[in-house]
Amino acid sequence: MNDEAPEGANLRGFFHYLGSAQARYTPRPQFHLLRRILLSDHTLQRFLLGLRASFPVVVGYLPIAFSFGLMSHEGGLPLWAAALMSMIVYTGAGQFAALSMLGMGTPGLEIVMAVLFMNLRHVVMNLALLPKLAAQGLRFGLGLRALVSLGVTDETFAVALFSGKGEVLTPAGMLGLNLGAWASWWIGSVAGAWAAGLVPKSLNAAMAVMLYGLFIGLLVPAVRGNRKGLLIALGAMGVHLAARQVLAPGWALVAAILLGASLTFLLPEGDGHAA
Amino acid sequence: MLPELPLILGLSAATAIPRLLPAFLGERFQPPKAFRRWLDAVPFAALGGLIFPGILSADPNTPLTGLAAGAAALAASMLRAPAYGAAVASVFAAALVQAFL
Repeated sequence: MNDEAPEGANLRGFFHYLGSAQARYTPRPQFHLLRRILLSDHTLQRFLLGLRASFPVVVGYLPIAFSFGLMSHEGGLPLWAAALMSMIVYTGAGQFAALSMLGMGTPGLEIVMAVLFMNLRHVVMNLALLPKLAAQGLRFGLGLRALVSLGVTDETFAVALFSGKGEVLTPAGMLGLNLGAWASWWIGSVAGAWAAGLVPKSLNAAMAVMLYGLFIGLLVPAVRGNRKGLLIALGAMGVHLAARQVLAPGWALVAAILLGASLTFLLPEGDGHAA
Repeated sequence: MLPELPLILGLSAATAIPRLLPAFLGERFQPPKAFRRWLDAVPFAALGGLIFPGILSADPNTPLTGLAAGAAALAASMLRAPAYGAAVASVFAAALVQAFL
């Protein structure tokens, strides 16, 4: 085929020129998807932007994940189980709660129920998040929606919604953000489980309180300036104490979560400043 | 053979189902306001229930260990230490109590 521009004003030659020019500039089909992903839709850039935005989450996750690894070792969980748990359960407080209940000999079903209730909040988070993702370039189908949804945590949700001008709020940006957070979570867990063997034996008995210290360390900043949250937490403690007299330990915690959270209806609405 | 595996798979389902539900529900569904309000309260209730009364039996010998650990963690987080700082403080307080008892 002749790719040279025609010399004369011959109409047939002109169309031939147009056709061949288009043939020159249309990428070959096998490169089309790659080109779309890497260049024309800025998908890679968005992904990297999300990965960059995950940095504060990574810094926050690594020490907590490390503690999870340490404590899972103290709780008698093998390293592979700690790693797998962080990879496919992937929930901070829920994993610690599971460890704590395992330590008390709670049956599996009760542990799973308690963790399920603790994670119901992700229904609301993902309901809020998904419509905000501008699916530029990529078809935001069910598969991609599911992949983005699986990686959402309290922290990545907050970063996505509140960082900058919302530049992470694309499917590719969320994948980058979620990937950074997820990788740091299980890598930190593996490192902690591995390092647990190095902890001096004299500290082993004292390590049993570490989970409670962590829970307190999570609760205090959350209820700072939030009296309603504080009252709900204290109420749940009371419910738990009472429920333990009549229920098995795991179900007592489930009851404490369900009834404690219901206290919200007895308290005035709002963030609690006026409560 | 692997006693932890069924529990981990169950926990995986417990975290995956709430996360995946909105992807399948589509964007038109919005939960009732009261349900959202209740869900907002769940993390506070869960943390409260996880801390107490379990902390008292963290050391099966004496509740003093847990009380000291809790006080140390409370102090550390009141001083705006990060969560793992509170965890480390609680371990040292517990070690101290155990050393003197």
